[in-house]
Amino acid sequence: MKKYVLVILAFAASVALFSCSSTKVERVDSEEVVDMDGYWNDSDVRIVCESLINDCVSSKTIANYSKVNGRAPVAIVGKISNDSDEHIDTSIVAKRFQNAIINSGVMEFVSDKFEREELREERFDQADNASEKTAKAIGNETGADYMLLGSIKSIVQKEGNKSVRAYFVYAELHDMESNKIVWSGENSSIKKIIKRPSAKF
Amino acid sequence: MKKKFLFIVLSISAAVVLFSCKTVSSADGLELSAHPKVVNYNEKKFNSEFNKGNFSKCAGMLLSQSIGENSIIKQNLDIALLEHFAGYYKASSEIMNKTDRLMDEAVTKSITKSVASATLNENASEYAGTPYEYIFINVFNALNYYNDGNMEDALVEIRKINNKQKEYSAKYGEVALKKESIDSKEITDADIAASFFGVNVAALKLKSPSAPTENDVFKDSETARYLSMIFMKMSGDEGNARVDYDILKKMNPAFNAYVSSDDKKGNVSFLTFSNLIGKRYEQNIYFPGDVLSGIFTVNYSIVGYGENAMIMLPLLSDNIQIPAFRIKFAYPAFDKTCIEKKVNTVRVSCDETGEILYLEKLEDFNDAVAKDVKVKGSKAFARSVVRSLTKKMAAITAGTATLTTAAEAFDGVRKNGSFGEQMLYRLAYASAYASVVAAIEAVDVSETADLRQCNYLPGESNAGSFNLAPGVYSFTVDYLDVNNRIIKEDKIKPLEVRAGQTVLVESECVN
Repeated sequence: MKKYVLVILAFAASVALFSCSSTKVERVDSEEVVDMDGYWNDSDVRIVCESLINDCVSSKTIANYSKVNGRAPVAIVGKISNDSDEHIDTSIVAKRFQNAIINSGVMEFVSDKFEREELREERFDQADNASEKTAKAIGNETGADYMLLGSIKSIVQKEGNKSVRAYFVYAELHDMESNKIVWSGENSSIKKIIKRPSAKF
Repeated sequence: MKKKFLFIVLSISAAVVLFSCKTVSSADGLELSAHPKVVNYNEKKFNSEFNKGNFSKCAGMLLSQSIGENSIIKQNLDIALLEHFAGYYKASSEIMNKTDRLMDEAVTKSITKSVASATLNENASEYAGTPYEYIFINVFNALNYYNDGNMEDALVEIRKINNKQKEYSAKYGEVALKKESIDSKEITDADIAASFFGVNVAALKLKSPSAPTENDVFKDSETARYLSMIFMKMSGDEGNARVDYDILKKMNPAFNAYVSSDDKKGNVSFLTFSNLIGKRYEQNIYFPGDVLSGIFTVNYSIVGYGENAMIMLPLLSDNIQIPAFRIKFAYPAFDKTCIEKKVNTVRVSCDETGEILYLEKLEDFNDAVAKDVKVKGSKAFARSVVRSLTKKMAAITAGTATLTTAAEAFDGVRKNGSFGEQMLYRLAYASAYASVVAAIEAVDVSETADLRQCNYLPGESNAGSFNLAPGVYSFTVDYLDVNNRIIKEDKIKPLEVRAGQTVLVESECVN
């Protein structure tokens, strides 16, 4: 009998110890779609960027620019504004866009506003401290031809424990000199139906 | 033997899992480096620090607490607001974002619930937040982001408020005014109990708080609308700013909501928070004391007077006496007139121009509490009646069985035992009697109204604005008591005013 009591106590203790304190981690492929809570996630970034990037690199205006000017256009990443009802880090979208387009060779990118400040600071420092041979020239930056701007918007409908979230992502290339919009892309393929539990155990 | 052993093991495991994970630390899952230093909670010190305005220390004390899972939302709201007033905007945002999602899930459940259980005490259920807390969390989070220089995320919070207004506030009204259907078995049990105790249910119902009407349902917040209007203006969305202005005008016709747009001048708008929100209290009704006229006496007597009056049931067989008892019904109540108000007026002066502005009252947050209590009062009372009657009946029945069994077990001893044996019987019976008294009284002790609410919302908001030529200006915000004495002076650091632009300044005196 004593043996049984000891076994029961040991079992109960181990259940308490392991049921409340263990963390499980499972590595998955980065392409795998995992929707935890119905809000904007990494899969949405990937889906949206793929479609917009494909649209951008196949744009006739960009292709024509290379033919007319003999070089790929230079772009700068401007503001991708978050006009939705949830907190989204739009810099991830902007960076992904930029990387894909650079790697495609269709356009070149120059540093954005914040990166430029840092580079200029370094150049001034080089002017004072680096050798004449190695110091980089001031006033020799490449001006951008286009600026990439965009926004993320959302529409939410809710009824009881069901809600529908639809996202609209817009991206545009604006001519830096004429303000013309030379390319405009839209992705509205992200739409989610979220059903929350209506009773709790 | 094996089956019994397995059953015991499984039962204990289930009980251990169920009860061992019930409390959580308030600081769980937080980026603690952004938050105030965690210090051990001490109630006296907490109150002292709060009165001095050391909100960061207060937040640090709350962060050290372990709380029940059912109270996470309430605790988070308290900590987040204290951090907000202490200027820990990023920390406050972290908690508010987390809590907003928890409230979203909890609120969804509360409006889809079809049948309520009356036997579950409200204080044991998960605290989902009140309708006004559901909106105010985004108001203060918007201010968190704005004060942190992040206008974009501040606008996200404004959009959340607008979505909540559309989707929840309208639905909440329907649910709040709908007659609640309590489990039919529980109603039958309560009817049986009421009949046993001789309660005139119609007379008891007269004691109930009145049922809510459409006007008692919280739907919108003037502060939320004002903030939305200002932020929409700041972001250049004049259309939506105009919508907010129109709604605000209808909600508070006395408030001059107009914020002028001038190409040559800039606008500095002030939004201040003062006093602390009032707290609800528990209102008790006792039977028979408070419902004397409702008794159909059914062979028992009443001892005592007023709320201490008790029912004395007739003797059972073998002269067994059930202890005298009363039945308690509890519901939340709120009295706005009893709230202490330190700040009576808010005055802003511009140091450079000498201009003085008395800010107008924008919103009384206590109205939201009053509405919430009015909406919940009658339903809470009805559930309390069902619950108390049923539990009291069960306690009386169990007590009767206990005492009868104790008497029967010692029947021979009682009648024919030796002196020593009879003394032992009396001790054993006395012990059983004491446990029956405790069990019957425990029903009243456990019958408590749900008074939970966020404690650190302000009592009032005030607002107003200056139109100034472009330049750099300093301001002083004075909080005045009813005798025009300055309780607190808040010096606003110099800010730049640009033509055609609006700047918002937040200030508080909640301690």
